[in-house]
Amino acid sequence: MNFDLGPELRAFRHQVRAFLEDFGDIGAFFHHEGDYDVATRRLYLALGERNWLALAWPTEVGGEGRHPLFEFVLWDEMARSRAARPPLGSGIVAKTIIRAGTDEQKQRFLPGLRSGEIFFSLGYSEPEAGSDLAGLRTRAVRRDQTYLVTGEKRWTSGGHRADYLWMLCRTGTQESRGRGLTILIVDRRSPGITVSPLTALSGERFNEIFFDEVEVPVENRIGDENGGWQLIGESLATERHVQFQPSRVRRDFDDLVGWLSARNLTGDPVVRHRLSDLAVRVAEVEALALAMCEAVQDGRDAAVEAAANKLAGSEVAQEVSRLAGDLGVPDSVVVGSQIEYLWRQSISETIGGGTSEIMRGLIAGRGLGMPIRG
Amino acid sequence: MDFTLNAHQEAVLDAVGTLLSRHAGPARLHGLGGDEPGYDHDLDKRLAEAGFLDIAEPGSICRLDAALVLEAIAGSLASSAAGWRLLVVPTLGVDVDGPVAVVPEGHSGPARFAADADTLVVIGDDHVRLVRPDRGAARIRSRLGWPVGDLNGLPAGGVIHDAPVSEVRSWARVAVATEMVGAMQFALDITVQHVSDRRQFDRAIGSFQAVQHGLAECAVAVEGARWLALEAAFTGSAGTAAAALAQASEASKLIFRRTHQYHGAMGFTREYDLHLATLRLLALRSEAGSLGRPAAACAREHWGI
Repeated sequence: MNFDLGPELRAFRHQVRAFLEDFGDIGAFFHHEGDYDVATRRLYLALGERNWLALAWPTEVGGEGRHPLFEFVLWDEMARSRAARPPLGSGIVAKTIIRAGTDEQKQRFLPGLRSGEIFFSLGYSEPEAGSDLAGLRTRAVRRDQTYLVTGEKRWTSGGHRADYLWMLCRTGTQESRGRGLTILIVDRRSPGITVSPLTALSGERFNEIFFDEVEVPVENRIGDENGGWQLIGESLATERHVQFQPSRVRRDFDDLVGWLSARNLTGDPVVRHRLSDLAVRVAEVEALALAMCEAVQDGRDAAVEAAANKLAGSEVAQEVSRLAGDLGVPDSVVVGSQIEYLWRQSISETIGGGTSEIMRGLIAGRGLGMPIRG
Repeated sequence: MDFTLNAHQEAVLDAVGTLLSRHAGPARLHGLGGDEPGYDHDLDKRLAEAGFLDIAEPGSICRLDAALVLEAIAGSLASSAAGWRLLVVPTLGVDVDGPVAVVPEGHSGPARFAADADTLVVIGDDHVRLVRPDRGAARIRSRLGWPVGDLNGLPAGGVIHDAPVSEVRSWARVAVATEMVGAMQFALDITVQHVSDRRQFDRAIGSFQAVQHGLAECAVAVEGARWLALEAAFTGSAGTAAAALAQASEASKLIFRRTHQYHGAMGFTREYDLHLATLRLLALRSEAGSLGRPAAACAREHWGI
């Protein structure tokens, strides 16, 4: 047994840290009410210049051909410095195109994704389909060489500034559930698309996106018609190592300890007790992340390990922010204070990217082999 | 023992409920600014005119009726300092009109209602003071569902001679606990409704046992906090008051976590009502801490430790 990521990954971590010295103040890992697009875009372009958005892509499509754990290290460091989160485009989108796209699609989309120039937003969730994606209703009807897309997507992060939407659409009957879904790439500027804002408690702008017979060329379909469900399952499997970054929790906790120390509160026995309890949880999160990395490194399906990592990490992130709220009185009620910011940012962690309930179900069913009731 | 409402209480709650259904509620709070609201002077005026703000009998140790009214007001998400008025002011032994803010001695910085209050009740270790806030008390940017002012130091003077300091603090605890109960019940009610209506995987998500168990625990936590708060209002016991606030604070964490969790992305948007209640709980929990660590106070009052 060996708990070390190894010399190559360690060296890479130092490279990332050096790179981030120029970007550490972006803060785009969290969401703001302001507009941070310019700085974030500059960061992604700089990552593109180093080809770090294509670290684990195969070399034949312009990637670095590195092990996925290089991506883990990159985004873990990005989380520690709160610079940014892994973009959808170079992750799920690119890897699915590499696996299932046509040569023409690879030539059309991969260069811009690799350079950080084009931006994708995820069009899965709908008013009636959140955790249960197989129930989604946005319909794509084939007419000659186009699909006509009609329906509504909701809670779409970044949907207002995306170049493209990575959409899961219904092409089969409603009853066919997962067997009747197809992936389409939709140009966000197409006629018939209306985007309206939904403001989240974090300050992030979500969107409602309405589609009224939006024409999508057939060459924007990824994989087979009605083959979308399998593709999104496979794409999740390729992104488990960047699902949740343990260093985000470490950073939040460090900040809390620093904040309390600066106010001379760490001598209080109650404060020390609660911090100690939490320190153990943070260590647990880091250990679970290593277990997930080990499974990925070993080439195993890391679904259960990744679910445990996400479940524990997101719950502990909330515990950190809750304690900050409790001990940060009265700053914790003021907009813009460090403490208020911390907990406001943690509320959605146990919901977005797969709820804690879905993670628990996965661990119980696939990890413990418990019977699943249909 | 009898936990049912008597005829008088039923009539009072019926009347206050009617008033609140017309002049309070989430739509009213959205109209006042949502999670960053203004103070609802109009509602205070209506409550005062109907006599609801002076329902506590001066000199009586039992303020159960006042607590019941406050629970209803808090459950309607009123942007009002009625809690202080209903439960703290009657202990002061002096007449106070208009909105009140209650702060610990020496407080500086954000305080609920500080920018809107005509009077500040300042609770020290061995004294209680009544002062007029500097008119300049600015509103501070807080998004926790309450109007919050920024106190830049407290004016001197205004000591109330022979004020029962520990009773005042105790009733402040009951007030915050009761306001938490109202907000928790609101959050729980709309969550139960949501999971009953929301269908995923071809069934109501509330039919999943994990969700049922989670909300059942919430219901027990809110009930515990409610009966403790009402018992404290009934008996005037300092130990029960501290226990009520400690229990409500603890329960509020569970309620916040679970109600948001079971709403999914929906509860995370500003347009939806849930956060109007849950964010308030955070502010109230902060305030609970400033009233002197309620759990420690409970242990001290009950067991002298």
